[in-house]
Amino acid sequence: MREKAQSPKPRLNTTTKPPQTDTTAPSPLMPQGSPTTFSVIRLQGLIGNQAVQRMLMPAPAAPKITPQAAQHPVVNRGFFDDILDAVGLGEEEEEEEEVEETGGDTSDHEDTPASDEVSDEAEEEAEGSDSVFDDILDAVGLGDSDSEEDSEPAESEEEQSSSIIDDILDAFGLGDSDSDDIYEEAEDESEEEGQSLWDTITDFFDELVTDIEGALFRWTRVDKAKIDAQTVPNVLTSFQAGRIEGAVNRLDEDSYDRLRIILDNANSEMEFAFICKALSAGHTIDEVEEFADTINGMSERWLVQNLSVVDETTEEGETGRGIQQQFGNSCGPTSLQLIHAQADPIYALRLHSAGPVDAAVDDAKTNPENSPNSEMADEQNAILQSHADAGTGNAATDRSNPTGGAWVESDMNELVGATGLTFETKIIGTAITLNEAIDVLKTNLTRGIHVPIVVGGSVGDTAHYVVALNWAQSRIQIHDVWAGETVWRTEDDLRNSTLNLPSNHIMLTAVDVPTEADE
Amino acid sequence: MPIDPFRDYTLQEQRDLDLLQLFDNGIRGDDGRMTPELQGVGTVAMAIQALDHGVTVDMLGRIAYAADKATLDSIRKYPEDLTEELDKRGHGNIADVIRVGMSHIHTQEDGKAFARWLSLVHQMAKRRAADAPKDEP
Repeated sequence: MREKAQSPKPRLNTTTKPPQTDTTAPSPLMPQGSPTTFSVIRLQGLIGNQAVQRMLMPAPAAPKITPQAAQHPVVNRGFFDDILDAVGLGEEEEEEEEVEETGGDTSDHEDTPASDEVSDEAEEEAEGSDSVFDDILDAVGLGDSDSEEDSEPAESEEEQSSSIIDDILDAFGLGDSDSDDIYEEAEDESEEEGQSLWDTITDFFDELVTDIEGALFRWTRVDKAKIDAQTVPNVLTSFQAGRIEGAVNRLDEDSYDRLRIILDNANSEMEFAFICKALSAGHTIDEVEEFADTINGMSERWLVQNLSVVDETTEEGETGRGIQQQFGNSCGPTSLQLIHAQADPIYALRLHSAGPVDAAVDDAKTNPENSPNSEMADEQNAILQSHADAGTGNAATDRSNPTGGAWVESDMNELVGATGLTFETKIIGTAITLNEAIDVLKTNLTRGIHVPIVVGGSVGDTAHYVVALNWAQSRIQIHDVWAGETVWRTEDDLRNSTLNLPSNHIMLTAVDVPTEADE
Repeated sequence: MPIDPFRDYTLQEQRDLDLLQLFDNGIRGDDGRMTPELQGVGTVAMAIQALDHGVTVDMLGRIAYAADKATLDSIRKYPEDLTEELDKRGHGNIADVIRVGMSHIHTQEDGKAFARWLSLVHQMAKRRAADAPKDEP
């Protein structure tokens, strides 16, 4: 199996060096600028710079957490209130403060809800997205109402770093009027002890930011880091990873609360990722919960083997095993199952729970009891039978009698909830050129979208569905469902019709062009 | 008492059968075929006892899949592929039966026969689970 991408440590960018040991490189805590802007900037530096500003901004134009913003499903107005209350700036004080800021004009307050007034006036005052951030800083005693205009000379780096720690500790009730002494003591300690203090502070802020972020938004930086770490072959493609946040935000409150408990119980980041993948494939929270119970505590090896039906880690020159068509003409339904299973781990697990997916017998139609995986075979058979009944294809035959099957794009498009995609067949030479088809493959595969393609022996010979899985360095990874084998071929093989797939087909003859669905 | 593949066993006897003895004569006989004790009473007894112990049909299906996928090398390198879920879900006694079976895999053919046996067990369990009386609504 290909080595997994190293998991990014979900920490702030402030842990590289303790300030007292770094006198040359500019510290992330030491933004250049005037000390008055410093109070804003330094905390931004501490807790993630612009990323944190974005986190703290529910809507770009909203300078306050307005009543409208508070109704946003991912914003927890109560958390802001808690912060303000905790520092003695609860609702009453907050409004008073806003009145002062707007020049004490309260004439309309009797007729208009105060919060609306505050919101309107604050909007006029706001300059970009710093406003909410500034308010938080003000609320906790770190703000500076004139921070943008002030231009006192900059402190030295050492002074700044000492001041930062003091201010931060004071602001959050952890301060000490003699914190300079503490800092100096720490400075005098060994480098290891200094590092320890630094780690404690940064850990504290990691937690603080995570808490703030978690209270404001459902999908946090830490969640994203976990998903990024698991955006690797056989777990998540980049396209699938990109669907998760939307799926989480679409949950109702109760379901979201349940999801959080489920995710908290995940034993590994990979487990976490597969649970999220199941959710984004359109499953209900009940189904996700049952799935999470089934996979809970299982090894990563077990997860990969049971929650995907092809091995995308197959290297050049290797042949990977994966899902195999059970009938002589079920390449379409099998490709459909592959696309479905790679997008939906619950479905993949169901296929595996019915027996081997990568084995087949020659007489599954004549003697269904011989099929190594009767559920998988039954589904392939049913898809073909429905097309036969509708006059759009042929019924299943034994593998010993391969023949024509059916176009299955309509079936694939019914899975849009799971895959997030619809597909349209374009036959090369009539609806699309070979170059365009290759571009479609490159574009989509590099985005992490699997693409069903049709291969044959000559132009227009739409003989056999296979699925393109990956594109890397002018090479394409293809799973041939006839043999149940995953192989790599080159771009030249595509252009020169020298694919020589395990099913013996050589030429790309059609491509199912994917379109991302609105979600 | 050694398992006699040529006699009828009652349901209770199958429930009480010492499954670890199933492999006393290996996985395949001299003729290269799966031993009759595995193929006959062993399949049914394993399915019955697994279900009795709370192993699900799905779990047995995944084990059959893992065994089918396994090679001689992978069984030696990753024996837990076949037993991890049983162990982690509290079915160590059933996992022990599989471990004893794996210890008798010496050739690729042994491995294939063992995978076939596990597939038979899965199919038998599936049939028994489907036929099990359902509670009245």
